[in-house]
Amino acid sequence: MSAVEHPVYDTDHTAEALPSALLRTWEPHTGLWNWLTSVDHKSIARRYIVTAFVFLILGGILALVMRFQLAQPEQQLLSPDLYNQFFTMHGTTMMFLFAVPIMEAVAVYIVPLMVGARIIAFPRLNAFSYWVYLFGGSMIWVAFFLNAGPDAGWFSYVPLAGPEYGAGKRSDMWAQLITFTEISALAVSVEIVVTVFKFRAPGMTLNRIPIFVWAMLVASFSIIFAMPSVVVGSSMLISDRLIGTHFFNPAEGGDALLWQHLFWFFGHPEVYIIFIPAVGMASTIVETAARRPIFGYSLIVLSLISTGFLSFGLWVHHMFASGLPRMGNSFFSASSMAIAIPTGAQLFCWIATWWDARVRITTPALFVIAFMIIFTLGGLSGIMIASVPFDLQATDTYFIVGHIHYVLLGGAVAPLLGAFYYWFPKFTGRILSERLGAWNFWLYLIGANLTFAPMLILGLRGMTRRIFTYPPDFGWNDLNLLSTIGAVVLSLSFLIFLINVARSLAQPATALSNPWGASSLEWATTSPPPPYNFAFTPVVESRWPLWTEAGALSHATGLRTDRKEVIVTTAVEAEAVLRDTVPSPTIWPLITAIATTAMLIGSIYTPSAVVYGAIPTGLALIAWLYPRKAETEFPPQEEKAA
Amino acid sequence: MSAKLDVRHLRDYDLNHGMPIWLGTMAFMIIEGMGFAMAFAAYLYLQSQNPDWPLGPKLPDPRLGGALAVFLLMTEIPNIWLKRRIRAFDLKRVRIGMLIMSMIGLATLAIRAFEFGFLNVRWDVNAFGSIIWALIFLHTTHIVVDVFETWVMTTMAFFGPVDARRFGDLVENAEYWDFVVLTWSPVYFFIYWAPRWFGI
Amino acid sequence: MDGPRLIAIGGKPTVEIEVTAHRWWWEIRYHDPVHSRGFVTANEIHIPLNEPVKITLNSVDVIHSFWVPNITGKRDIIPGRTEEIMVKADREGYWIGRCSEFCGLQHARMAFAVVVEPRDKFDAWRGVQAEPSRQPTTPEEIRGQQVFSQANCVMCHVIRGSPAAGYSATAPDLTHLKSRATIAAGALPNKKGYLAGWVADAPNLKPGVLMPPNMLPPADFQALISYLETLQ
Repeated sequence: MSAVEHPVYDTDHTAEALPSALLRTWEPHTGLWNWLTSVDHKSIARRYIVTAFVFLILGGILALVMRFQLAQPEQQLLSPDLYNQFFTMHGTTMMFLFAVPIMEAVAVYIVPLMVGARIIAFPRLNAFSYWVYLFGGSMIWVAFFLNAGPDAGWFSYVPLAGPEYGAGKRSDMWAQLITFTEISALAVSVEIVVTVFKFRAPGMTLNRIPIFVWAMLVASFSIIFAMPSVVVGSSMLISDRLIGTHFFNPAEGGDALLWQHLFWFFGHPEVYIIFIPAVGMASTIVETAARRPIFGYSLIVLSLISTGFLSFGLWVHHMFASGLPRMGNSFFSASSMAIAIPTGAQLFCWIATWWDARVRITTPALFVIAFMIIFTLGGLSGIMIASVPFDLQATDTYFIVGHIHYVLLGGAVAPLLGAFYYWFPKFTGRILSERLGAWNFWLYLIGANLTFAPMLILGLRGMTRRIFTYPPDFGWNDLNLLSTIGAVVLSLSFLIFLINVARSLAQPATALSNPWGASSLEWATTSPPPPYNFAFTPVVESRWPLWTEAGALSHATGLRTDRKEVIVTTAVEAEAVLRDTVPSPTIWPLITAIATTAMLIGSIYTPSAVVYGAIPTGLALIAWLYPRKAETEFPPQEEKAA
Repeated sequence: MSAKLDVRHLRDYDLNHGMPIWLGTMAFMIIEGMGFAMAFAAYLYLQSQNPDWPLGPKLPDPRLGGALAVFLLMTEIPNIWLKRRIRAFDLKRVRIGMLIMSMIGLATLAIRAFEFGFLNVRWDVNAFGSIIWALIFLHTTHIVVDVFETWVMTTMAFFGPVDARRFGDLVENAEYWDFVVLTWSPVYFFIYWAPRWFGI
Repeated sequence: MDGPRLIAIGGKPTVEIEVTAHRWWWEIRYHDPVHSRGFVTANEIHIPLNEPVKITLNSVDVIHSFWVPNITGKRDIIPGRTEEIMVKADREGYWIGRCSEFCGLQHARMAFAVVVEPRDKFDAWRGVQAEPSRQPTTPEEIRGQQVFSQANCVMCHVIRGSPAAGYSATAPDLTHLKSRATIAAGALPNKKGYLAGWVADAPNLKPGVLMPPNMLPPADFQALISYLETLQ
């Protein structure tokens, strides 16, 4: 019964032979089959990143067309119906298909490397989550091209999105997209939590993990606690539309506001799920650019954690105009203002880190500066609308549109672009051009402000949001035109970015392991890393392993090379306690994702798809999970002796 | 690069709560628990908006659901025994235990199938019907998933391949049954008793 | 704005208005203890200067939002609930309001007006609105009233004091159509040419609107428009 094995360990190989031995075990296939069956977190993350950027471009094109429609009053570039689909698809794509997935994608690539692990926890689940994301995103865009795109806004208020007023399958597509993206995001966040707690390099106590890892830990917990709310809500919406339930039907005891509470209980943490990884990225760049440890590590960690907690207590600020009791509104007003404090604390820590340092102003650092400028403006407008009386004038106007884009472009996309410039050498082995990077930055800074500052003013002048056109005599014309020009500038910025990426990818991969001279473990391996990340798992003694142990990083030995093994450590002290065997490449996550997709798309049309679709999904899951052979002895030696 | 630590002698399996799979399962239980929590919150919210809750003359009949609650609690006896046998790597008795839990799972599904008829309100009649069906649907999904997983693992226990690491999976499966049992109590309360105590 | 800051508008309201939001227009109902002084109009509210006014808000379909930037903050109108706000305007004028919650195809063109005027002018306006419609005098106008009663119009619209006086809340009340500055909820000026275009083919001007096009013989159509033009 027990497997007869002659184990081969890493110390059994010479230093020259070890990499190829590991490669044979860790990446046994090649070509398309390798790509389809891969469970390598880096390979999966690259797909996530590319797919998310495709959605960014698609969502951006929608925005550009909308800006052309609004550049002048009474234009007819887009019909009302098309405009409604455009703004819904823009928000839905950007929030669900770009912003959260891209942060997760960077985390999927970087977090295992940063903690010194060879894998992300649950590698097959990781592959599954990518396919589900890809298929769900494709579904909604195919629906859009078939004129069945959702048209009720990215937060899909009922009764407009309900069975009575939401004709066709448009809002069902939207609600099911939620299911796809939430399955994907929840799976990844579980993987990240388990990776951070169980797969750290020995010696990397919780107190020594990089700030970005803390940020992803907080964001992952936020996803775990927040996303179930929108899954429950979107399922209720589908069931109202498909099988006649009355969750949101006031005529039979339901309530339209129930939707808003369920959605925004998720929706507010959602924006922090996007923001917190980005500030983690910014902290990373700040530290590397300063070439010295970040100021206030503990304060930053506490700020991240308290931001995560506080973000769950803000959601009613999206509903100030709904006539809720004044006391309730006041509470949420206070909490909405309070959350500025931990964010501000991080900003001041960055400034303190740079204050006396010899800062190297590279493109990543430029984008952190862009964050500071653009996000601060967004945050200030946020404090304004935290005040209920002001919000009753500003809500549902372009002031809000300006605010959300300022905080997103400043607080999420700018650090993301900076992080992309920062980690591009690690991902691809090439460095992006600094010259094009500077152009990218300036056009971004100018474009963002030119596009969204007019919107803040337009809101104060009474321009409501989600309107396909506006009257010519309200005094809104010039600012709309200015905003459109800004959108063109912003688009040029992204074009330069894409050109930069394309040109760099055309170069040979010659980047060093640590071109920036950074301190964290992802830079302790090649650029890009091999499938097994580290030939030997590092052993860590400080927060900045590559700075304090310069050139003489310790490592652990004793893992087998004839099967995929990793070290499992304790949650807080990171003591090695286990050698875990991790799965080989397999096609079953993809098959299961296809079966799941069929079930979810089918259930847009008929409830019996849930039952029928569960059967192939269940069979695929069996094929995925059922063990192929015994990997360890049984009964275990220790138990036999006892 | 110096060799600081040798992990060759570490075990390659662990049945304790240090295993990554345990932490992952815990995380998924939190996710599902939050789903239940939001459904409970929706229930309380709808009730707060409707002075004439539960909206109709008929109330769900708590007898079969109550019997199920008692039955589920009693299934913890074989489940706890099974967990002990798993931790002792006692394959022979583990097989018996898995078979028992598989049958229990089927019996639970059968009881649940009858229980639908005791709800007395359809999901499409009013918001009360909708929310109690949502609650029972959520719990039923958990039972279905658990029974499916239990049957697959029972097959594995009998026909192999079994090694020390798979025993970790068996413990996880047994603990997931605990979750199914645990979540029934609040769901039972919300469906059958909350409308009687807090409504009308 | 000068004057004391108000946390809440106190005092007993001197006017009570019921606003019902539809896709994509505003039904305005003035209540009065004397029944004959109550009336229904559409898309235009008049209120007396410096007096507290109570506005009740309802929706018959989806969530809308009542917003007159110069006078008051927004209030979302949730179907199934009745909202109540108090308003007190201290500046005369013709103030424009807009629906402020995305409500579908013509959310962009769901405007209304709030006219703030001195009490005497307000009373005069209210008196006129409460009266039944002007009777047609010329043969063409009489023919126009007949067309109105026999064509689709009467299925949704009400003109008090005419054969089409049945109760219907599905379309704006036309009794004093020409007393308003705009038609189609602020989308078009209230002039004969625009009115004719609207009656002929409303969905062409405001895609998605629930009013169907009206194909009528030219003479009948002319008569209808002439009649509508008399409804001061």
